Amino acid sequence: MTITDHFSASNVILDTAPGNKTALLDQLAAEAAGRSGRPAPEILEALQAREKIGSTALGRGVALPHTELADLAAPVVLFARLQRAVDFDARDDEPVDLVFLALWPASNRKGLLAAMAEICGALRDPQSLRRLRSAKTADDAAQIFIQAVAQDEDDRDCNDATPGF
Amino acid sequence: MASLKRILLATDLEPKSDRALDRAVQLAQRFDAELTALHVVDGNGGRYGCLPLHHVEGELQRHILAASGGAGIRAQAVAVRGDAVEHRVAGYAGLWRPDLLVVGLHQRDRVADLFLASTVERIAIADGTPMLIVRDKPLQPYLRALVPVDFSERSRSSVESVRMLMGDGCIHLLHVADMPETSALDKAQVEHDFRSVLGHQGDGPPGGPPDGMEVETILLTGSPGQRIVGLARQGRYDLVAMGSARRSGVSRALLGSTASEVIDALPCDVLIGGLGVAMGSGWSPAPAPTLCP
Repeated sequence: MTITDHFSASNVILDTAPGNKTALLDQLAAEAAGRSGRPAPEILEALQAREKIGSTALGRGVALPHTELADLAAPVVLFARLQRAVDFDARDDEPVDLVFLALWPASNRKGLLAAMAEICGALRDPQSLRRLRSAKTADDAAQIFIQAVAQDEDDRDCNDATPGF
Repeated sequence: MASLKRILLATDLEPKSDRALDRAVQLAQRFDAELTALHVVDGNGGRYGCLPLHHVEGELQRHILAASGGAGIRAQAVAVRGDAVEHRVAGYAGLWRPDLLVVGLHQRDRVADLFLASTVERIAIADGTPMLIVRDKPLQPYLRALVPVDFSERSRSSVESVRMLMGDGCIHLLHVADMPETSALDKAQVEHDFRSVLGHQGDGPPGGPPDGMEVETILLTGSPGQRIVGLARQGRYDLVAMGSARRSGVSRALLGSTASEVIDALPCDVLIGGLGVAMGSGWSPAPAPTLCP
């Protein structure tokens, strides 16, 4: 099972406009609640707890907030593109405009790290980031991401991957 | 007695590594020790090779906080890249100088060659820090330990390491004589050797150990490796302390086998390596050996 099994155009939110990191996490928690059946406050609290440990920004304008939830039935993966980038406490100080959210059932420990690795692998090609930023529709964005995951897998098979984030 | 102040947990972040993490947190909480959780990201790509190190460290930290008691201990997470896990772990241990190295063992998974017994053995050979190999869920503190001894200085180190981990409970010292029967043994010498392993210098009457641990001695004959594994399986121990995994150590010289094979065969958590320091407390004379044919 790969990350793309949990991802389609219905998991894409284009050109949303949260004013800051707090509002962004709030919005992502609400969107994830609608797709998972878990209460938004529970999701938000878990995401905030993870951010307290350290920012989940990857750099180059990308963030990957993530956590595990005890009673989550199935993984939830969302992609949000922001109208205006927001400060996400990134190490490279770049504001974030591309956000992947990964929520995983706590019982599936292996899944979250593997999913994070797949997302990071797919996004390390700068071309993928450019294409996501210029995608016209949710379908386009979903296809770009799914292709990037597949491409990264192929590259890894050929031992030809570019360095990680 | 040596105290547990620094614990280094080396984890591969596989699901069953939770057991080692839980045990490390439990020990850190009980002994007010500082915990460092270390993950070596495969420098050749690997599954998690493209993850930023600070994300891996964040995951380690999140798992520590999620463990029972994890929020109340002093802990840090460290992720490094490297090709050879054992060298990176040993290198970090050499810098940070922990009192104990904790690793998980989940050879039954057969999913990766990271923390299989062979890797654990390589770490132990590369680094002399006492290593706790966690196999079981840490439902309680260690209460019942088996310590095979060959009456060398390493044996004293094993006893000292077990005392450091347990605090109280019951220690069974086992000596296996590689001969057909015990009648050929000098029983007085064996009893004296058991006392020496426990740090008792004289031949006076037994006294109670100052830290309240119960000590029993067991003398067996036969193949050391088989006897140790057999007794460990029968005795419902939660910890077996082996000498050292190094080539001169008890696991090779006495067991006549590789440490990884013995670790594989033991049914419980295993402590290998010793402190390598002489004990001077003279705390516990051994009771007379229990001779088991």
